Amino acid sequence: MTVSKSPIASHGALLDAVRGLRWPATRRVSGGLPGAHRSRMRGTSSEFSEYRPYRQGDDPRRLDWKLLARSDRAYIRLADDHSVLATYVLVDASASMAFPAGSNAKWEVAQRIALALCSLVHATGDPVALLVPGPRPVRLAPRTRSGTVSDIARSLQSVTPDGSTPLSPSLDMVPRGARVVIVSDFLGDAGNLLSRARERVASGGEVHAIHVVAREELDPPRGARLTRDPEQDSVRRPLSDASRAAYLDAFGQWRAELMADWRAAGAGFTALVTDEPLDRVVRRVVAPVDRSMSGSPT
Amino acid sequence: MRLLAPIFLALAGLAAAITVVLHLLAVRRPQEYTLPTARFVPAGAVRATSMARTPTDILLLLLRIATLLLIGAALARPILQPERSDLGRVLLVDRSAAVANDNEVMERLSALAREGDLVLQFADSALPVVTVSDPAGIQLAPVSATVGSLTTALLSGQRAAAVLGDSAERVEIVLISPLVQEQWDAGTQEALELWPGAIRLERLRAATTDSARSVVMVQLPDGEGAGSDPVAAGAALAGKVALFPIVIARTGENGGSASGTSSATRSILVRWPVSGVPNGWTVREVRDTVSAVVAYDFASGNAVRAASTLAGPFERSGVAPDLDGDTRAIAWWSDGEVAAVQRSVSEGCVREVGIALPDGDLALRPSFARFLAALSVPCDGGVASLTPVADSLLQPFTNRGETAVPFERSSATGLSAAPLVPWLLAGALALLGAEWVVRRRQRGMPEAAA
Repeated sequence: MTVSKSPIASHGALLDAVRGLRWPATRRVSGGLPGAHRSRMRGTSSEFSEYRPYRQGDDPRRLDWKLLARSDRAYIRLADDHSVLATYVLVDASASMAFPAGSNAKWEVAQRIALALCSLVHATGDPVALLVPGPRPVRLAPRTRSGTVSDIARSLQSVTPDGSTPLSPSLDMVPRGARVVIVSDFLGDAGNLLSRARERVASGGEVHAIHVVAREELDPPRGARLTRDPEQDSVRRPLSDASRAAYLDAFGQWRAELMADWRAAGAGFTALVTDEPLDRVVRRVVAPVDRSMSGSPT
Repeated sequence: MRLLAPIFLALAGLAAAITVVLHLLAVRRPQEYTLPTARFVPAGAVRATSMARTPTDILLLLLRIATLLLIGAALARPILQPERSDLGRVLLVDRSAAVANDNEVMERLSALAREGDLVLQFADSALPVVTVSDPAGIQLAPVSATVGSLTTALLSGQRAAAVLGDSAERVEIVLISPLVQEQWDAGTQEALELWPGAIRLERLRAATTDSARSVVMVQLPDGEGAGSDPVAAGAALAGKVALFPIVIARTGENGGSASGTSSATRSILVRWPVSGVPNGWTVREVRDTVSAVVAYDFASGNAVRAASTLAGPFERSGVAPDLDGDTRAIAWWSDGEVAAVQRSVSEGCVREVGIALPDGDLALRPSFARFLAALSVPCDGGVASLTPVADSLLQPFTNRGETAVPFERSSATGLSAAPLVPWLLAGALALLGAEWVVRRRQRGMPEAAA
């Protein structure tokens, strides 16, 4: 009898490294099942928060009768609610992720970072979903049951990056209020994606962008090469030692603009290079963001 | 092999080197590299000139280089010519009657001849030129019965030297001869002057009476064998009888077909009919018998001495013509009547013998040999040996510097012998065709793939 190897067995070290991390929502989440994230709802939970004067229309059952008896003033006792926050992980599986040829380091890193975040989210009891657009799209609905991480790992392993399927339509499939993690090189429909993300953030959603950059993109081979865009065959440019500096400048400027745009849109943005330790990347992703980037509860 | 215009081959080599550099500096598409961020690379020409470490298109490069070199080689006009030796010799070997000793000729010839030299044997005319392949095995032609002609030898030798000049840097003419006055004629000096260098002389001993070995040629009537004629038999046994050849015409009363003698060759014509009397003699009405005939030898000049006496039962049938200034007696019957006369002709003399030999062994006796020797003395009667050419006469020609004359190779010889140019051009054309095919095939590959 043969025992099939678990799909997450090869990721054990990374998953162990991120075990115990918490990824709180940057904004109060809308109500729902009880969970780990602060909810916009004030309710009857046992965790007291504050008093508020009773206003017409309030539920009389929430009056603090003891205070009313002592002070003859009507106050309502408020308490914070906690809810779950569904997290959708959107992974770019376009042809540009299959780089460098042979190792597919960008896709491998994207898989691992997505799996680590899914594992982290699943550990907090939040539902986690996977979206991989492409010629053979993968869609796993949000779920919390055990085995979810394995399912996600298996699904990711079944994907071969190819084509140039845009990510933005998949973003529309994510419910408002859910947390979205986009793992991509943003070389496809970056503009549309940013626009949708901006709308989502503006409507109270939480968006995290993880920009995957290959080391070979930052330091391409020396010598004369005719570079070819795997997603746009018409783009063929000669890269030589003379044009190398210009390329690096343009690429660096684009990455800076990309980060600035996404952060300006209120989304989290983390750039990673394929040879970085991924547990550190995960910690950067889940770290609390600046106040300027945090949404305030309504 | 020699190149008439080697500059073209050098130019072809230069063109080949430039071709190699061009193959290293080929304008080509750089190696393709898939880069997702290619859009950030500045736009530019897709094809770029780059220097490679190894030439591109090795097959095309080889074909082009070979084509260039073949064209260069063709324009350089190569000719195939045999290697030239440093010194070639034309050996003029005297095979005339003037040479005293054959062994001496062979010794000199063996010492001088080397492989590749030319041997030209001459007497009164030149024999075909023979190229020496084995110096020790040179076959000498039979000795001529006449004294040779130096003019003929020298002119033929210079023609042979011109031929030898194609295979030798310098040519030397060596004359192996006694160089006697009798071989020297009016053209000899001019023939010597035609040769630009000195003539190397290997002088031999000249023949003398003692060393005479002339052949007695007996012309017999038709249908009669040499064995049945007593004169022919006696001449065969006589051996060394004279310095100059003797032709004895036994062909009839009128003296046969032999013509007069030549003073240059100094041969002796003796008309001695088998029967009857020589032309011009009177036939006796009554034949009588005589017991002996006496001949005198004039070789010692004016001191006439009896040479031989033939004794036997001779039948006398003719009477000699009257003697005058042009006709004199050279043999007498025992009774004093003339038995043989010598007539002077314009270029020499003719001797007529009116002696009918009796049956028996008379011709086989030594006295008969002496009788023949007496008949073979020169027409003038006093000269018995050849006269060597004076050294003073030869000195201007032997002291004209080096005997080895430098020779330029005849350019036409190689060109006609080695038609390499058409073959080289044909090869270049074939390679050009192959280059065109390979280039078309390589150009068609991407289209076929597409």
